[in-house]
Amino acid sequence: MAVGIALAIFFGGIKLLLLNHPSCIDGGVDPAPSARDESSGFIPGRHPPFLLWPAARREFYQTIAYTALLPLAWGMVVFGRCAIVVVICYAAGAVISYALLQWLFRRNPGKAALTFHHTLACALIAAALAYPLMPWYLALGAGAGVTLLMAATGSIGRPWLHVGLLAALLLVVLYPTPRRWPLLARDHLVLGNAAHNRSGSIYRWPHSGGPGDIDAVRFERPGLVLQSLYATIAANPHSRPSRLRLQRAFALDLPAPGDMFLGAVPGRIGTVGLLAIVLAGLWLSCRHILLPGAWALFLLGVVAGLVLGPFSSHVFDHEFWQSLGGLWYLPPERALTLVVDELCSADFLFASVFVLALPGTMPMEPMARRVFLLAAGILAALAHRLAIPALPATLTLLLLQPLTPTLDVLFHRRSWVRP
Amino acid sequence: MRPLKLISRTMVGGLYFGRPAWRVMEWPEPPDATATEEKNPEISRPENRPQLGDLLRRVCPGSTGSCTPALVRQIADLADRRARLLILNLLPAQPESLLPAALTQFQSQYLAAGAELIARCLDSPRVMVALDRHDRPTWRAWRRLADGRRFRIHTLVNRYPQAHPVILTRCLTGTVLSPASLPSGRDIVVLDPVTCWALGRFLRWGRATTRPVQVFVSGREPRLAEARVGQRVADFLRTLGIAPDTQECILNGMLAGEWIDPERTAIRWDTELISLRPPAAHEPAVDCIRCGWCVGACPVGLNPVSLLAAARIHDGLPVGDRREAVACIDCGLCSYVCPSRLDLAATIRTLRAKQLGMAAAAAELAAAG
Repeated sequence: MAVGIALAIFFGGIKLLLLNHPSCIDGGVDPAPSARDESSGFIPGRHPPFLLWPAARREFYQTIAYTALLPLAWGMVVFGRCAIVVVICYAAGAVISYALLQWLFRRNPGKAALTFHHTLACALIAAALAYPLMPWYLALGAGAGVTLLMAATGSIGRPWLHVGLLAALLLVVLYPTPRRWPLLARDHLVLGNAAHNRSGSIYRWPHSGGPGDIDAVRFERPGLVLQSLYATIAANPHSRPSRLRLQRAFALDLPAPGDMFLGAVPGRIGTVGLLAIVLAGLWLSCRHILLPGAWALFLLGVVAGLVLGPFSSHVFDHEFWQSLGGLWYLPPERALTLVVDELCSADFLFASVFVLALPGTMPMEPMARRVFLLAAGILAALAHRLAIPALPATLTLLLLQPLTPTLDVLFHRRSWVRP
Repeated sequence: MRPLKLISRTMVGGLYFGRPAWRVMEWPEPPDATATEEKNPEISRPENRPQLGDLLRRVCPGSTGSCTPALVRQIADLADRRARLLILNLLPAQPESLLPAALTQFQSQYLAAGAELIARCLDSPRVMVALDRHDRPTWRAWRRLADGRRFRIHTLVNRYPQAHPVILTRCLTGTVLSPASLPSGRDIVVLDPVTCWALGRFLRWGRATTRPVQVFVSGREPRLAEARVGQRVADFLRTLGIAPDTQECILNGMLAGEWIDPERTAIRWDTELISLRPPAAHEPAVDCIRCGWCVGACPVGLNPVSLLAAARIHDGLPVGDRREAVACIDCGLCSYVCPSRLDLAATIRTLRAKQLGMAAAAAELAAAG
């Protein structure tokens, strides 16, 4: 009874919010009056272009939702039954709340301000951010909550803030994830940790038994190798790091970059699903939904932030400038190893593909977009360096998103045509 | 006449812009006019520019291209000044247009004769021929035609709307024009190929009331035909064996053309494309999702969404400067790419008309005061 009353009050409030939302009232544009002379045979009310790019708003979210299934499927392979339940519960929660809203607004179909594929895409991205061992009822509620929150704040009609995703991310922070895990990024579905595939997984990855172990990886992280190496250099600045020492350090202690990228060495660096994310990004770029330049610029900012960020947590802790000078001696293939390791350590690739693909994340003006992406990349890298405990890149992009209209105004491009 | 292969676009479900394909097209048989061999060498002198204007008023009084201004107007605006540059615009004005290539392939003698006459009369030191880089047959033909003449060939990547005079002039010379003004204000004359063709053919045959028209019918090969100016579009289509009754009829391209009633509309000098397609489903406009495609697509660097917000208060969008609407060249790309199906082009067109009306009113007030 009490649950019923609470639900009625909640949905009533949502309905009131939606009916009064300005974005729901302003559905489109009045057709411009025709400047043509009707007597000459031109049909008024019909304006060019008479041909439309065959990608409507529906296709945007549809493509994002379907491509998100690819890394999720990979995660389900790794994490098994639990992950499948979490994904299904997120999607089911979103679909149920969407259907409920449609029913609630059946007499005002334009007021619901939600489209099915938008709802599904946001639910799947939220599921990808979630903890894979989350209880099913919490996942169901989270999926429904994400959809209802998006509807209450205007959804697509108020596109400068992905409220649902932000709420999902806060849920990730607030959910009692086992505190003993040092890095939250390792514990999520896409960038998951193979140590979690306890039962029901389709493929048995090698893994360690407890959180204090090294998670099935018998290698040291590249950053740690460099740290010890450069600490030695800093202690004795007159001795150059010999190529042989560097080669030996990487050859003995580190896996090959390709192995890390393909997930052949899982666990420590969260490579699970990265290849799927890259494939999804390529497909979204082919469909013109994700701008390849935006993807590259964000990652460039991330790399710049990682390399230049003085607040190092595990690479350049001591004697930063000496260590930076030591990069000169690093062979290019080892530098690639380092970069891949850093990119795989957090959600940089995930955010650069799925969060940037969602329309409205970036500013529209080209210069504003460049500034936003570079700044977001650097800030995300700094957040990662400062060990902010929740998906630093996604969090940075979502927190910077409300600034996009301001950036559009600040970096407004004047037309080169003289009026 | 020998049929020739030209680059065309596949039409899928009444829509263009599919994969490029090779199509065979033929120039229509010439009408049964007698050869008069009407030569007028006197007109090719610079001092006889008024006679050229009179001749053009007889041959093609209006604009012969969908975006190029009429040569008569440009010559009148040029007055006694010397045209420092003449641009023969052989880029297709619309993505589906094949007319410049067809004129070059089939009627090059008239095209070159008309262009040379105009160049001599305007006493222009430089004549640039702007060609589509991917249209190799046209480029080869013009290499032969330019031999011994003052023509200089410039090949460009023809991304729509590259053929618009504002963009073409900026690309070739760096000169920035206003869409509301004529290029002759900067001593540049932009020539449409149909004008040159009509002039060259008039000098040869004395005919001046027909022009080539390209006809697209959904599911069929594109066709070329000579249409009489003033003839009703429906009658013209019936002569080609096409029934326009149940189809949508669009004039001068799908992106920036006009939706017409073929029974009430006549062929004009600027009618270069007639497209017929089955009635298309209308997609309703929804709210902007800030994807930024319109900003990326605008060839003149406008922000169509902010102009939309300026035209009408729109929640959550930055409001732009209404005066920028004057810079719009009416290409229709913003509406074409918009996934929310917002009628951006029509809104900007209305805004531009208002701004130009206000500017005209202000000029009138200043003149009166």
